[in-house]
Amino acid sequence: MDGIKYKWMAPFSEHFRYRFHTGMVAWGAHRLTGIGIVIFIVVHIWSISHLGSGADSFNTVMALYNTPLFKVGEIILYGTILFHALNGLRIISVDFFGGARYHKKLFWGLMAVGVILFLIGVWTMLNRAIPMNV
Amino acid sequence: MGVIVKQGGSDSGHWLWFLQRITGVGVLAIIIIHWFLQHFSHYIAGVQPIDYATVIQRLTLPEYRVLYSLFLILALFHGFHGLWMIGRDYLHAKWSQICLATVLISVSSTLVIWGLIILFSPYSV
Repeated sequence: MDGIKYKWMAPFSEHFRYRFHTGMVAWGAHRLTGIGIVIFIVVHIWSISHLGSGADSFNTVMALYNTPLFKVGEIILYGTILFHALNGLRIISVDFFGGARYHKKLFWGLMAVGVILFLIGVWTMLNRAIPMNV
Repeated sequence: MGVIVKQGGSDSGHWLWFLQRITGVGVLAIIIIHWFLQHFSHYIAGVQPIDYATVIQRLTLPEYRVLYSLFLILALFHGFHGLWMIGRDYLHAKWSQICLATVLISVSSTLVIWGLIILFSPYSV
């Protein structure tokens, strides 16, 4: 089975590691979520660096986490990391454990697990979590 | 048909490709701990808001500092090596790849040092 199904794919041929449509979407989404998470890490280090400016400065920044906008952001972050982690496990299974034979089923199986973990996680974060700041 | 599908990152070394998988698993393990610690530690430690006092108190534990140093280094390696793999696919000229590598290595090293300074600074309670 060749990875190139259509002519228009040819210039991008080197990107098609998993050969099928599901794999292409997963591949693109893995990169996009990865870029998003790197941007978040930079902002996160910056926000934690306020420890050095004392309690008031740090607590002011941390109070932002309780605003509705940040709650939504936190949920988006959780979903983004969850996708990246589960798809990453699939990549590892393809690379090391012969997962190429069943990677498509694995993808949809893991996404189903992801949806369940997302719903449980969001519910617990909204209802059972400690406030970031009081 | 007749098109060579390139597998893996053979030109930047097989070990980098392997490290990307290893660090991914490491980051996932630590991020699960981090998630429970940030949102649910009150089940074992009583209600403690994540404010200055709590974070400073956590930072007095050497285990916490070691765990978060590891988190910092593994996550930044994984993230910036990931950016390198993406960039390398679009930048084909040698000089542009060298520029990208220089920027990514400089920025990620700075972030590691910045993070370690935050983790190991003495703080007044």
